[in-house]
Amino acid sequence: MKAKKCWALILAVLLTIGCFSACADTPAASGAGSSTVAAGETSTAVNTDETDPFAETVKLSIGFWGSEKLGGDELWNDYIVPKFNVDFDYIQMDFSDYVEKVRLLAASDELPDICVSPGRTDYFSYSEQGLLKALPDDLSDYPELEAYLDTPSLPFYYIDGKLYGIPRGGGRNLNNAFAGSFYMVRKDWMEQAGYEEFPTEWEEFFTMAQDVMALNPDGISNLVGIAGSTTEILDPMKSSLSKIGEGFQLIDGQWAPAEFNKEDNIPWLELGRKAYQMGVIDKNFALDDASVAKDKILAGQAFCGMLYMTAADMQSLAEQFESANPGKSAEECIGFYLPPNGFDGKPHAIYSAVNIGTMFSAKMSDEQMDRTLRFIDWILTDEGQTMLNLGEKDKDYTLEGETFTSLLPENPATGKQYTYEEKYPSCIIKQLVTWGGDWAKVSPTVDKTYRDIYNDAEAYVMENATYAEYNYEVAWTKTDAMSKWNYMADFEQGFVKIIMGTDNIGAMYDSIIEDTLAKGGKQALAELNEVLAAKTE
Amino acid sequence: MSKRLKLSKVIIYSVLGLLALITIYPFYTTIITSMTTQAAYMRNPLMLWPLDFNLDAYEYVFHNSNILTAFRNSLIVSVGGTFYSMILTVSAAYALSKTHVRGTRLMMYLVVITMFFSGGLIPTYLNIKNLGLYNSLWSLVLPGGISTFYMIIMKNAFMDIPKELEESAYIDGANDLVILFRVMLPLVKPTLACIVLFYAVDKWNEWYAAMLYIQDKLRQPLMYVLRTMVTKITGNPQAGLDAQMMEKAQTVYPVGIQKATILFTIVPIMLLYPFLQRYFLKGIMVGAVKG
Repeated sequence: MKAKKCWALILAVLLTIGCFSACADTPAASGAGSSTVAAGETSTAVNTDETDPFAETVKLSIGFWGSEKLGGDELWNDYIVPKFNVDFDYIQMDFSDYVEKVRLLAASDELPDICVSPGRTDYFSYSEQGLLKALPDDLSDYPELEAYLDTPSLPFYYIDGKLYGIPRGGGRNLNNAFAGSFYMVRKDWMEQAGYEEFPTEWEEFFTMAQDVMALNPDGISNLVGIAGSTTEILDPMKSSLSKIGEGFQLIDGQWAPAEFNKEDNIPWLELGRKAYQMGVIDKNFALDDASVAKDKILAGQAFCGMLYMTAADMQSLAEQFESANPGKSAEECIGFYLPPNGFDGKPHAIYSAVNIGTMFSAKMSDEQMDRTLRFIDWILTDEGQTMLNLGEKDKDYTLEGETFTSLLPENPATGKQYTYEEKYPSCIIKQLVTWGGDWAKVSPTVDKTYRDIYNDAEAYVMENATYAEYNYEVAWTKTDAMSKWNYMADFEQGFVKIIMGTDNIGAMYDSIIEDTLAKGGKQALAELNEVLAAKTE
Repeated sequence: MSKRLKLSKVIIYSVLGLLALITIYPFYTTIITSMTTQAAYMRNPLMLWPLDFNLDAYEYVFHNSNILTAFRNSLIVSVGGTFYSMILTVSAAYALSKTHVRGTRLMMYLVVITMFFSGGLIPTYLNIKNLGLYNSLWSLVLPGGISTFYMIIMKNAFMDIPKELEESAYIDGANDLVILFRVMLPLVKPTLACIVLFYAVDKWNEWYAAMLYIQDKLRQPLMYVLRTMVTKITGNPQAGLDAQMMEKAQTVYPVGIQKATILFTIVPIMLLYPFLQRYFLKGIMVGAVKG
């Protein structure tokens, strides 16, 4: 018995020693970047040479979902690298796993010099831990970047007056409120049902869908009127018919989620239920995934569906339609239309908050930061955008007025002419700063028809919309309880139940709100309002 | 045969046949769906035979220039890793089965503790890096050398063999190694086969460690490459497809790609299984008998 106790004691001691040994400092791991600046320090703008800011070669490591495509083509090796005089080191990550990898690298204090941000929470966490380097206060050497950063929600990413990353937007203008949401519609069926124009009111839209389903021009069994996932069905109604996009509102003198505004939400829920009971909304929409609307329309199984798209996406969808439906012309059969207007007869637009897309390791030197910002600044210029989307004029393409001709050679693997992305995969570097949605509006590679549809829709919305603004100051106020808000509130599922249900809408809505409050929402909102009240005093 | 017996046989065979169909059908559907077009699938998700027969999904999968390299890497990791793991597992299990040796009980406690506690992701990552295993296939083989659970199963199998057999071998002049290879291992063949299959499947399916530790595209195993392919075709299109696959991406659809990759990954294991089946059925009960 004594021997057993002895062994148990030895085991316990070994275990304890093992636990404490894990707390030992790790030697400086061979991470990215050189360590010439203390963690968390702000960089100062550095111009290494008045005449040539790229005189010295600088080493930079980059962690980005397109890293694997960098370094293998002429665009990168013969243009970008010599132009900026950078010796790049690539940290491989993919779009499906970059979040995990970046978090692992951050936890191991091995963030690459240039790194994509997993999300807002991570950005704040890393900057507070001193893992990130702040941008210089003076951005005059980077005029495009300086203009790009002039957007209302960005100040909320500042910590102690410093910004530790740059946002990634749909385009180079972060102040664009147009979301790019369109209904992709079987225009031929719409015309056969007697509708020359797409309706601008929701009731008329649902009636049109019902008429098309009744007509069923191609005799499809189980024809769906409006296809889509929960997001694709609810989002256009919410955006047009409510102020949910504001995030938080003052309701009875207290800040609360916009979903708590009964007066604002009941009308669109009533309309949604009516549409569901008319049978125009896909019965399975609560189970469908995001690609189903597109798939069903292309397969001739649905009349319409909402998609977020650029002009280039419209062209791609049209080509896919013709590929999936031989003998049918996309021009005659497919149309792209803005969602119907709100109750006030106007389209609605929301100025959404930006997200930090790219951040910089605190181990970067000022010279490395300067080179990086000059590179990013170039990406934002017209020259950069042209180079990363079209290439060099008279070498990769010619442009005579509106007539674009690609000069790229034939791809031996496919037997067709290379696309720009095939020939120069490293052009994906443009996604370090923007998704490039605005380029599609002007790109000569996109058919003018689709560019006009997109640009006309955008102009109409920007000119006529009722605008709202996301209350990021309130929504991003951090409290212990509010950090768990996502676990308390599931409004989307609640709204789905209301739309698909038969009970009194008001009672069902009240039940959702009561559930949310009962799960800790009451305490969370009380805390939030206390903090906000303290801020204003 | 009496009428009652005939009727009961009919019922039994019918139910079993139905269960067999229910088991086989998902697999059959996977094959069918991978060989049809998107339009045909959307029109009729439940098909008995491929409508609009089309192998574009497989062409898309094989169009990836890295697919054969990835297959080779997975083969190396699976075969080499299984061999390495079996050496360690058998050695440890045999040693720990000698309960008369002092300290084996303590060792077992220490080993079992590792089943419940691990170093965690960050320390493991730093360990791999500091040992110079980063971006090497060794990072997929060495760290998972022994599975404690499989080692315990193996140990129990050794302990089930009567001691008299060992003693008689000792009397005949055999040493421990000869006893292990000539006496013990032949007697635990079912368990060996079972553990080999478990390790092989584990290492064949490994993608998470590859995601964390393998940087070089030419060293990535098959599962990770296929996973990346599937997530690219179903995920955010703005992230961009590989240039070689962009052409093919216009004619394939996500569900077809998923089914084609499922078939491509399970075929090697399915080819191995028939050879181990008779051992597998015996060995699967071993760990359940006694501790």
